[in-house]
Amino acid sequence: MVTDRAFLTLDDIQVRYGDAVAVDHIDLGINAGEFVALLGPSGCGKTTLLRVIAGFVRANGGAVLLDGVDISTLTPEARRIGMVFQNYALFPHMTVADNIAYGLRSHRAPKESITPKVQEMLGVVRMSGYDKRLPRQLSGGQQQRVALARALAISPRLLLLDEPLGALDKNLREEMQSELLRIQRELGITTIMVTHDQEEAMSMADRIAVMNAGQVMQFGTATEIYDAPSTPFVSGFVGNSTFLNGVLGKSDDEHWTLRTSGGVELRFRSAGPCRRVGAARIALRPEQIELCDDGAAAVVRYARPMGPNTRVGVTLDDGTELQLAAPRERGADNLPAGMRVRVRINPRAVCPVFLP
Amino acid sequence: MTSATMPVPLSTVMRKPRPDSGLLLVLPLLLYFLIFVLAPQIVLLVMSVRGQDGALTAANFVRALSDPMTYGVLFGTLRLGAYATVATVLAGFPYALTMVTVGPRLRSAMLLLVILPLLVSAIVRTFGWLVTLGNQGPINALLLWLGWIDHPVRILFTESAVVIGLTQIELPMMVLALYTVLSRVDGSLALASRSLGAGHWRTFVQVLLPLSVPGLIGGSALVFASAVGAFVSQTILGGGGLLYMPMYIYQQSILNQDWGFAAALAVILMITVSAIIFAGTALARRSQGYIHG
Repeated sequence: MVTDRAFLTLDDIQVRYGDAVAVDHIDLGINAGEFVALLGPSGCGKTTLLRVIAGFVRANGGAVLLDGVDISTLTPEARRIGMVFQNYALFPHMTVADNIAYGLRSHRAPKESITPKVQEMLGVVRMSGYDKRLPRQLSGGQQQRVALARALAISPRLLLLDEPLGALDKNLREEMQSELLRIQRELGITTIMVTHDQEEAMSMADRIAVMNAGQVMQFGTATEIYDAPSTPFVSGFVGNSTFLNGVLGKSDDEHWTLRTSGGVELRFRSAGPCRRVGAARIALRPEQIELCDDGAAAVVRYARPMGPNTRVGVTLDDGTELQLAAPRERGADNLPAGMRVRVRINPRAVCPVFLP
Repeated sequence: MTSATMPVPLSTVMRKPRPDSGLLLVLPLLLYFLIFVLAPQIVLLVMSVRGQDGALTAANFVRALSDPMTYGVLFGTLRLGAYATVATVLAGFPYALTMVTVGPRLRSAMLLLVILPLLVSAIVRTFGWLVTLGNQGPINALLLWLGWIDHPVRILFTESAVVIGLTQIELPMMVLALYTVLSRVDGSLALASRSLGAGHWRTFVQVLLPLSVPGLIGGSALVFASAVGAFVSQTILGGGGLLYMPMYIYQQSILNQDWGFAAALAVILMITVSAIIFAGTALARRSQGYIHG
């Protein structure tokens, strides 16, 4: 997947608003045809970074290189970068066809080429026959498709999606996720999507850049980010982790132990990055902990059915609180609060370990 | 645009009042309008169709409509209204557009700057212009100092003076009407336009201008109607050499005591202005009616 030269290179991008740093020295290389998600909590700088790429925000430092050419000083209209906005930003006074033709007319496309191109784009987003409608006569999902068609009509070199599915309800969101992916793969267009939804990022993107406080914490595939988070932030943001502090010890070739201050010992496999004995901090996801007769003693605080799993909250004897996801077929729904159980870390689970 | 991003209308927040209590709430203003606004208009209308002897007659209208002077004064008055409207649009649009793009603090300052003159009486502001535009006023002084003119030019007591004064006096109406509409236009529309390859100018003409048509209509109607009837400003800045409809009506009624003829002139002015505003509104609605429909 990695080529010699990235198609889009962000080189030391910085954006400040007064004293506030929105984007803090970000470097990123994105390959041609790749689908990258910028994932992070609100205010992490992901939308600002997208706007720097689009040209709406001028960076205080650094350069944006597209296909090897520095486009940092180009106006947005000169960049030929398609963008889909969170609220779609369809022109309310224009028909669907005029919305899609807008970019073609701005770029002075030959008149006779506009209608076929509009029809082609309507076909791509499966909205043929809607060309005479006005945006307010369309549903949210249909507006989304038109916004996408409008952005793609100018044959952009890059497609930017700003929380594209945020305004849709859950079922429609899943449908649009696969539609977006289908279109992206069909056209092979390099795409950057901003989202705060980790499931959306993981199911759609080839690579995810997890951002926090204006910095990229980790850039990698969904698997890398989920299984081997490089910082506690990534581990906490992706997949609901609980952190445990303790003393790390080596158990055997594959297994490590963590002894908490209260004396409870847990055994697990380590994903790194910390690989030395001593004080450490591990991240545990609910699905990595299981009920087992051969484990640490604990007391049930609550059991909440959550679809396929039951989320069980337990307190270890030393007071440490953990959450675990127990399969429902084992009767986990019926665990009463106060019941004594034993828990352990799933022997196959690989846990990230960080310095404290 | 989802409903979540739109401000919730008050009507959905408050429980819908019963129809009779709703009527009760508008009653004070309704009564006021009936007694002090509508009734005088009816009196005026009646007056215009009554002769000296009290009988029903069209003589006043025949006289007014057959007199070339009526057309001269009426046309001059409408032209004044048109100039003032165009001038407030030209001055007010960039200002309103700036207001929606700047930060909140500067926006409040700009809003205050627009509203401030409204707190000063139009008569005081008119007298301000009287001093400013005079032969010894700062404008002539500046032009002389720059060496653009050799001797003071006459601005005061010309149509230009009235237009300049009215533009300043009516500007708040236009800016507020435009700002209200522009502030409701989604800011990402302009960004979308630019990402699609349109520059600032094209974005303005294709997106912002069509979407601000309701504000343009509203502002223009207010400014036009107000400028046409601005008796004090017209009289003071126009001087004795310029005659506009309000002054003409005043002369005929108060000075000549010809109330029937004055009433006919007033009715003619009222109908003409209403027709122009109605036609303008209808025309703009027809071409842009789908925007906020």
